[in-house]
Amino acid sequence: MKKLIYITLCLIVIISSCSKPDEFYDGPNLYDVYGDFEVYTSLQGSQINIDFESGETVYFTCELSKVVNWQLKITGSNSGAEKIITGTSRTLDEEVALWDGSTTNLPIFRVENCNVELSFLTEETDTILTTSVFVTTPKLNDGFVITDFEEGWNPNWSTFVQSGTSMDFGIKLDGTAPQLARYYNMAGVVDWDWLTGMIDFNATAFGETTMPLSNNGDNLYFNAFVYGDPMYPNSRILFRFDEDENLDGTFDITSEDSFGYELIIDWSGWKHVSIKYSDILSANDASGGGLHNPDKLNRVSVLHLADPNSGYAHSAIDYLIFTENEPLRP
Amino acid sequence: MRYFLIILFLVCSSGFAFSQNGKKVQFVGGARSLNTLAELDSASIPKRSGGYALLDLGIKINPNSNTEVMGMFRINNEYGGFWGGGVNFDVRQLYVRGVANDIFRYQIGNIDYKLTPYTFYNHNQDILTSSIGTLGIREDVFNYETFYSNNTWRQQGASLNFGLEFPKVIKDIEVNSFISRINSSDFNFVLDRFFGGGNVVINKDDNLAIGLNHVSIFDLTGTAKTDNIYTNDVSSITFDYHLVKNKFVYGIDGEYGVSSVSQSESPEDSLTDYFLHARGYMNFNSGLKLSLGILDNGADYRSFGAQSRRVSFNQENNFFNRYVDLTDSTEVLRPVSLFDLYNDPELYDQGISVGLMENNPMISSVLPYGIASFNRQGGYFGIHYDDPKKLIDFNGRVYMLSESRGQGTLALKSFLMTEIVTTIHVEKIWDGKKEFHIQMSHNRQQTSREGEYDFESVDLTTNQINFGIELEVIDDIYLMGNCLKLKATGNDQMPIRNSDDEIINYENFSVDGEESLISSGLKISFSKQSYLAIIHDRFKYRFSQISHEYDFNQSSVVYVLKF
Repeated sequence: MKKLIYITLCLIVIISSCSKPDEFYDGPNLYDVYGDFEVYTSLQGSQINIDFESGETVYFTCELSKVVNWQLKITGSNSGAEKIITGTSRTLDEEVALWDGSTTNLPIFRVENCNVELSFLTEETDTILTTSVFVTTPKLNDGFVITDFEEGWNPNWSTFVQSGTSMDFGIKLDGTAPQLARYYNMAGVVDWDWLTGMIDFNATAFGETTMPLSNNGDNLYFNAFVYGDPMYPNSRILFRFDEDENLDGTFDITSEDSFGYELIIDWSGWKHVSIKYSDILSANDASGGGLHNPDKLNRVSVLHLADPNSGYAHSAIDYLIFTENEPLRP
Repeated sequence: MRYFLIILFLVCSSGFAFSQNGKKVQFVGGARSLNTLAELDSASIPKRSGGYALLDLGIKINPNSNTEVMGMFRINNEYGGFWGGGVNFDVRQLYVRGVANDIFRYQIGNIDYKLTPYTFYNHNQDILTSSIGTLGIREDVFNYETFYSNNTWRQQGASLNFGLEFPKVIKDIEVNSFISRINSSDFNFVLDRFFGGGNVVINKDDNLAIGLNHVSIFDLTGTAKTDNIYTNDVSSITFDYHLVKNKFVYGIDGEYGVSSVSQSESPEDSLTDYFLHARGYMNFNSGLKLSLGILDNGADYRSFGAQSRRVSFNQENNFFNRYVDLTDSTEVLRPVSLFDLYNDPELYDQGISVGLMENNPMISSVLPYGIASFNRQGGYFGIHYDDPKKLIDFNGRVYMLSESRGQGTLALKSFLMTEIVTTIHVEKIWDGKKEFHIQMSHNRQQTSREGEYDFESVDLTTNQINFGIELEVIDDIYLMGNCLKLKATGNDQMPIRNSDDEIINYENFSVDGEESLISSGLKISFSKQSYLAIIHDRFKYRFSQISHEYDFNQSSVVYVLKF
C-alpha cells in the first residue's frame, strides 16, 4: 500500500509538471495567409545606385497583408539581362530579396538602369509593383578568365577554319554579346568533315606554359557562355583541355592527358554551361595516366562541330572562365 | 563525449583487420523469387510484367569462440536478364563482432541498434498494424529488405557494450555505446557527419532501473571547407520501477529529457526543448495488461535519431510512377499510396535522416514521428490481452493529445487516435489441428481545431481497417485473404517548411475518398523457413482531390527461403 502511494505521488508530480500551451505560435499567422490581399508598403530598393564591383548589394522591401508566392524580376534596360528572385513571404527584406548583381537569364548586367517588377503568383491579384535601380559597375566575378574577347585577338592564340562555304569565324561586336560587348562567332558549311573550325587558347597568352590554376580538379569549374541558334540546331562544341604533364612547355598527345567536354547545342540563345574539371572525361584514352592536373593545363581548345550532312551550322562562345569552389554565378 | 565517440569508432575500425583467421564456417542467408503481372488501368502502357530471383549468401566465420565475422553477398537476377545482363552483385551485410576479455561485447561494420524511444529508435509510423495473410507476406519481404527488426536502425559503424555487477547497493550496470557515420564529406561544403551516443542503465535491484542516455548527431570540424558545424544533442533519463505480487506486476516507467539542434554559424536559430513520457502499468496473471500514460513533447523537441521516418512521402513511386490524367490526357505522378507501402520495399529509408521528413496526414496525422513526435501533449490508455489458451490476442490503444504550440494561430489542434487489433486463432475453439487465423484491426485518427476564423478550422478523420484471414485447408497449404481500406475525409492546414524546417506557409489539405485493397492468395509452406505463395491484389484509388482515380490489379508468385 505504501509503495502504491509512492507510485501515485510520482504520477501526480509528473502530471503536474506538464507545461501549459505556448502563448505564441509557429510559422506565419494564418490570417496573413488566408486573409485579403493588400499592399501595405510599396516596393522600394535599399539604394538607387549600386556599385556591384566593390561588393555592394541592393535589397528590396515591400510589406503585404498576407503570405504569398511572389516573383521579383530585374531587367537591364539596355542589355535585356534578367535576374529573377522568387519567394514565399509576407514581407520582402534583405533576407529574401537581396540582389548581388548576378544574372538569371543571360546576358549579364552592364552599366545601365534596371527596371524592377514585383508580381504575385496568386489568383487574388494581378497587381505589379515597380521601381528601378541603376548599376554603376557590374558584378566582378572571381576566377581565372581565359578570355572574354574584349581585348580582341591575342597573337598567342591559334585557329583553324575549314575552307567551307559561308564560313564566319571571328570576334563580333554587334550588341548581342552575353558579357560586355564582344563574343566569338563560329558558323559555316563543311560537307566533308565534322570539324568546321577551332580555336586554341594557349597558356603562352598569359606568358606561361601552364595556366595559373589550382591543382585540385575536384574544386575547379570550367564555365562558358554558349550560343544556340534556333534556326540551326545542329552545332556541337567540344572543349578540349590539354595538359603538359612533364612541364616541357608543349602538349604531347601520346604521353600526356587531354580531356574533352562535348556539348550538343540544342537550346536557343545564350546559355551558361559549367562543369567540374575532374568530371571532364579523357579524350585520348588517358595517355598521361588520366589524372586531372589543372595546374598543368597548357591549352584550352574550342572545336565547332556539325554533321557534314546537316548543312549550315552556327554557334558562338563568350566568357571562358575557371572558378574555384563553385560554378560561376554570372 | 564527442571525441570519445570518434576514438571509439577509430579503435573499433582498426580492430577489424585482426579478426580474419577462420576456423568454423557457417552459411546463412535466404533466397527469394518474385514474379509479377500488374495492370494499372490509366497508365500509358497499362500492363507490366517483371520480377527477380535473388540469393543472399552469408558466410559466418568463427575464428575463435569469442569472435564472429559475417559477410553476406547478394546476387540479384532480374527476369529478362540474358547472359549476365540484369545480374547485380552486392555486399548486403558485413560485420565482425565478439567479446573482448570476456567483458566487452563489440560489433563493427553493420550494426542494428537502438537506445530509447526518444533518443534513437525506429518507430513504425505508417504500417500501423501488423498483418497476417497476404499482407503478412508483403511485410515479411520489406522487413527483410530494410532490416527493420525490433525497432532498430541499421547503421554502419561500431558498438561497444558491457556490464558490471556489484555485490551491494546496486545490482548491476549496463553500458551501451555506438558510433556511426551518416554522411561523408564532399571536401567542400559538406562535412563528415557522425551519429553516436550511448547509455548507462543502473539496475538497483529487480524492481528499479534508471538509465542515463545521450545521443548526438554532429559534424566533424576540418573535414570540409566550412566551419558551420551542425549538432543535434538529446539527453534523457529513463526509469522503470515495478513491483511483483503473486505474479501481478505493477509499476511506472518513462523517459524525460532535453534536446537541442544548432548550427554554429547561426546560433540564433537554435532550438531547445524538453520531452516527458510517463506510464503506469499493470500486468495481470490472466494475460491482461493495462497501461495509462502521459506525454508532453515540446514543439521544438528534435531528435532525428528517433524522428527519422521509415518512409518519406516526398518521393516518387518506383513502379508505375506516372499515369495518365484522363481529364486532359497528361501524365501525372502517381502518389505513394498505402498499398505501395506494402508493395515496394524501395520506398523505405534505411538510415537516419537529418531534418523533418514529410508525412502523409491520411496515414499518420496524430503521431507522424511515432511516440517521439514533437508538439504533442496529452495522455493515452492501452489494453493488451494475451490469452493463455492462445485463442485470442487483443491490443487496444487510445491517444488523446493536442499540440503544445499552435501553427499560425494560438488555437491548438486536438488529436484522437484509437486503435484495436484482434487476432483469433479459431482452430483453438474446436482443438483443430489445421490452423485458422482471423485478424481484424481498426485505426481511427481525428484531427480537429476550432478558431475565430473559418480558415482556422481543421477537421480531418481517417479510418484504416484491415481484415485478414489464413486458413489451412490441407496440411501446409493455406488460403489467405486481406481486405485493407483507408478512408479519409475533412481538411487540415499542412505546414510548408523551408530547408531549415521553419514553417513558411500552409497548404489547405482537403480530402474525401478512400483506398481499398482486396487481396487473396494461396500459400504452400514447405517448412517454417520456406514457402511459395500465389497472390492476387485488386486495388482502387479514390482520392480524387489529390490525384485522379485508378484501379490497379496485380498477380504475384512469391517464393521465400531462409536458411
